[in-house]
Amino acid sequence: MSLVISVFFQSFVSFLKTSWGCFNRPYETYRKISSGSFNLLSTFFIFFFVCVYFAWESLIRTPFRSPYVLTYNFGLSFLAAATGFSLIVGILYFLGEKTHEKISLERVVILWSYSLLPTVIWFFSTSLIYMILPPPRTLSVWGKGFSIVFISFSIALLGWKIILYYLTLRFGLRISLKKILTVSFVVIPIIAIYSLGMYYLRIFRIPFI
Amino acid sequence: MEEISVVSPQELGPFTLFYKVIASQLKVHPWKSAGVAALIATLLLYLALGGAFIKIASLLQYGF
Repeated sequence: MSLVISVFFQSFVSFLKTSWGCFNRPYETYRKISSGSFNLLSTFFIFFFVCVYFAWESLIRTPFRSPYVLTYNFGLSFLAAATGFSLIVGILYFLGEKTHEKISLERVVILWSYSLLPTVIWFFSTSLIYMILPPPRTLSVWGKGFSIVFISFSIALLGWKIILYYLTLRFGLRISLKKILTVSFVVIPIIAIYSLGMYYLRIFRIPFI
Repeated sequence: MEEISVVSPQELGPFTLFYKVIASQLKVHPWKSAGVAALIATLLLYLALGGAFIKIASLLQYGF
């Protein structure tokens, strides 16, 4: 039992250190993750926070607090996110095998998992802001000021996501920038189709990827 | 040595120097550059779109 607790805390500390590294020094952190000697269990905490977010989101969005409806909404969101995650990891792995020698699926999974950090942070903070300052925004000074801050924050997180996406391809697939751009020409339309599908199915307005 | 050579250096022909300047900033201080770039992009969008910018912010708030 004490071994399990010890492994749990080690993984949690590893998750915190790696998350801070992804925020502060993403290049070095991703290089270290891809080196091979990395704690896969630490990615459990990312998926834990994803589950916490979906539980929170279904509570906010569901007008009546029936446990069946809440569970259904939670399950649907989680399934859709898991599908998107698996789709992107599968495509990256498949394209990586085509463009390079044999690559490690575990490495791609870990790197793409940590690229979910900006996604989870954006969705969590947007849902909290929705509760505190529900839309729509007005043309007053406060409305304009908040809109500028909120969109700056969103663009900054999008930039972080793009950096982590690039580093996933760079260190996960170990390919040059030209091949990264080639892979992106395949991946981005697929992400766009997935996003449209999620929008029309009314699961995600902004894709959770 | 193994760590240095895990990926080959990026070569982009005439754009290699430009890439290395940008990459060196993003490697060490990503949020200094990304934060400033985000703010500048937002202000440019606000100047370009005007009132539509506020509607986009409202729509984005529903995005979760």
